[in-house]
Amino acid sequence: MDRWDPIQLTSTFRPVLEPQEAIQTTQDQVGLYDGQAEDYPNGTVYLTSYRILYIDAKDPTRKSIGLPLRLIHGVQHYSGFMSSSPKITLDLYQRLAIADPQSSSDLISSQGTTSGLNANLGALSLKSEPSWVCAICYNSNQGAFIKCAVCGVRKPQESLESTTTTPTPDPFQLSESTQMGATDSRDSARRSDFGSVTNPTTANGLGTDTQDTPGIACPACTFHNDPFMIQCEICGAELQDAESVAFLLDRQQQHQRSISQLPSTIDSPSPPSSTLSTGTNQVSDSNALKTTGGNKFMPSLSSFYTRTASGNGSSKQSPEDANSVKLSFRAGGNGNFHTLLRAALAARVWDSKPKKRVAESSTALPSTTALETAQAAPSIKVGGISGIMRTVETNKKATDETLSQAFQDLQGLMDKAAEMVALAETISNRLAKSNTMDSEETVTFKTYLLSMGITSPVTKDTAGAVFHKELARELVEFILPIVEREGGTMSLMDIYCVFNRARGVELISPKDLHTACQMFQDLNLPLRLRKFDSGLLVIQTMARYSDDEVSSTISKRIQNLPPGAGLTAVELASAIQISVALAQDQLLMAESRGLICRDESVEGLRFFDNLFAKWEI
Amino acid sequence: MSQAASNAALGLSQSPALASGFQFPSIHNFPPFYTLQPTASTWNNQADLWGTIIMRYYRHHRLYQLDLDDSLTNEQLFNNQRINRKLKPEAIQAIVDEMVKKGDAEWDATSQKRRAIIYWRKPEDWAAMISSWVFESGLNNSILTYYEIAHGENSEDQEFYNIHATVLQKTMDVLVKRGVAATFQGANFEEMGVKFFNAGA
Repeated sequence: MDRWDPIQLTSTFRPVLEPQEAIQTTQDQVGLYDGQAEDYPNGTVYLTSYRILYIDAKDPTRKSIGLPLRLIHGVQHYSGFMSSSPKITLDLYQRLAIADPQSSSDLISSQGTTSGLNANLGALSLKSEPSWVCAICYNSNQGAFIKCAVCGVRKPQESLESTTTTPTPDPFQLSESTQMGATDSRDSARRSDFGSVTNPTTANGLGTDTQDTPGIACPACTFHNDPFMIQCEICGAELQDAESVAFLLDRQQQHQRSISQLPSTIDSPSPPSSTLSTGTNQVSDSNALKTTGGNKFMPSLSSFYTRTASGNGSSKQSPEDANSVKLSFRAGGNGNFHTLLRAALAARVWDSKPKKRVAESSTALPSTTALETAQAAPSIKVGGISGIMRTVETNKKATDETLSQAFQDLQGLMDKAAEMVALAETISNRLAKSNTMDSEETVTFKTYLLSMGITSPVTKDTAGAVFHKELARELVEFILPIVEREGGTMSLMDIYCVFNRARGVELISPKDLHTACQMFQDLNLPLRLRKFDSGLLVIQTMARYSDDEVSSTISKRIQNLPPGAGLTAVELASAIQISVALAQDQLLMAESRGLICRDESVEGLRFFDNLFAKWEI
Repeated sequence: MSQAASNAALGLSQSPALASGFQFPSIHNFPPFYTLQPTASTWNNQADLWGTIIMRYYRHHRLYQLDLDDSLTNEQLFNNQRINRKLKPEAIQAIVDEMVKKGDAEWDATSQKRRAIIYWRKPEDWAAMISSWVFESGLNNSILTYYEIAHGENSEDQEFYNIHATVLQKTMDVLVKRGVAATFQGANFEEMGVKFFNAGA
């Protein structure tokens, strides 16, 4: 249980998901225990691509916890017998191996050591960092960005405290390692392997602190550039930059890892063909590395070893039984959950995450794209302001590309949905910052952007038995601000349109929406479904807008009209931005209260102040 | 005065007086006035207002019978060309129904709700008026025909001059019931006779 962390919940007690995270399935009436106390007897369990989340039915605010899937190394399924509920047992990794956040992130991917991908770690560690201002171009960057989004200069070191333990590779040593031939690198890898085995601190010592680095001398003009620069500030020539090299190397290594399934060697016994006779766990690892025979990046490798060693050391300390947790399915659904859990574990989305990030970088990390493009087309090199301008231009191009790709076909759109939402957010953020907000076009555009945006819609597949409940919760989260803006009442038809539009692809049927809306009261949500006498269904916010209030508002509105002028449902609808059907019903409601009276003519139905009641004969 | 002021505050424009000198109240220019209101309370108010206007109009023009097929009267009363609104026959029927309930009107039983007598003055009032006229002009103890009462030279300046036959009959019925007069059958309605006895005897 110590590996479960408290999780964030939305106002309707649904989990807050990370970007890229998607709910795979949901099951209610699940108990959670590790063989000792039953602190989590009954709740809803969500399986996402990264985590298992438990939200307690009784006390969701305090007893809601999550477990990253990467900590699970085995799953056992027990289908239940007689009065014993079906159970799924999750075997977890050793405790201390993941107690340290740094090494836990190493466990997922050894790229943790390369600065180019530290941003991914920032995203993984579920913390939102404050935004920072670039020292060079004064662009305000998001906290997760490790480099300035505009000019590519790195974040100031002092705000990187959390990652300073990460060894930063020495640029000189790096360039040396890249110059090495294939056979040389193999030897050097072995050499560094031994170094790290005998003394792990040396491995960390390999990387020197960037604060002490004197700067990179430009190979063309010999100008000493800031170590964060990727191009010479004077002549624009490509610098032998540590990061870009590290980045490339790391991507290659990651590729190899995906081939050789390196993490599985932690659990698997040593390969039989061992050429080195040290006989420790490290040998098998170094063998695995040797057989893959590619470029090795020393710091990442050594930290990988350090982690393995610490993992071994901890196994003696933690008791065996604390390393598993049981999910008890009291209302069934275990089979489906088990299948999907296995699928999620096999998919290892957390491993492929950095790759996705790179693909997505046009929206989230423009600097990476700029870096890549700069490497892809090194022929054009311009420094200074024009360089920045060009970077901006490149970003624009990349964005265009993402857009055109996204709309190529529906499948493409589904794949890019998350990116599109991120893009929409980025654009709306930018619009919010710029001062052109007064133009009507911008406002309209912004509302369009905002109306996109349910990243992980609840579907029948993911929610199963609790589909309608989950749908109701999602609906309230999404629609509440919209309903309030619309004056507290919206017809169900309008809600259906707005909601499905935001969902994009996973459309729901009117019946599902209706069923979900009928659950508002049971789920104690702040909206209510209401049926007008005419049969019109509307969603209303609770309490704030009573019938009396609406009627008197309409009556006042009509009294304020010039004498002899009436009000039609269409006019009312456009005046207070509600649907015509709803306006009509509100007028009829006011009429039935004797506040207004009608005039039927060829011009249609108009409503007037009820002068009959006031007239004195 | 205060009532006129409060009505004026409602913001409706006043129509000019008709050639006959009749002035419609400004509510006559209120568009919803020509739509049958579905809300009960509103409808009651509306029907009351219409009843009052109809009675005022009929009294002013000395009219007795409302005929849905009589376009001349209806054009003026129920059709407001200024605001381009017209009361539908069904609405008129509904209004007269309300008046009948209050005793202000009576349907002609044979007309299938096409004609109604509007009692802008009750038969009892007419009875008092006619009998006082008879005694004042010394016509009691002699037989008068209905024609003499309604259209005779002596009654020319009286309010009941040209009184509607049905209303006159109702009035006579009231007088007979009181024992003030006795009627005599004639060849036709106008030749019907009536004799007033000595008053209060």
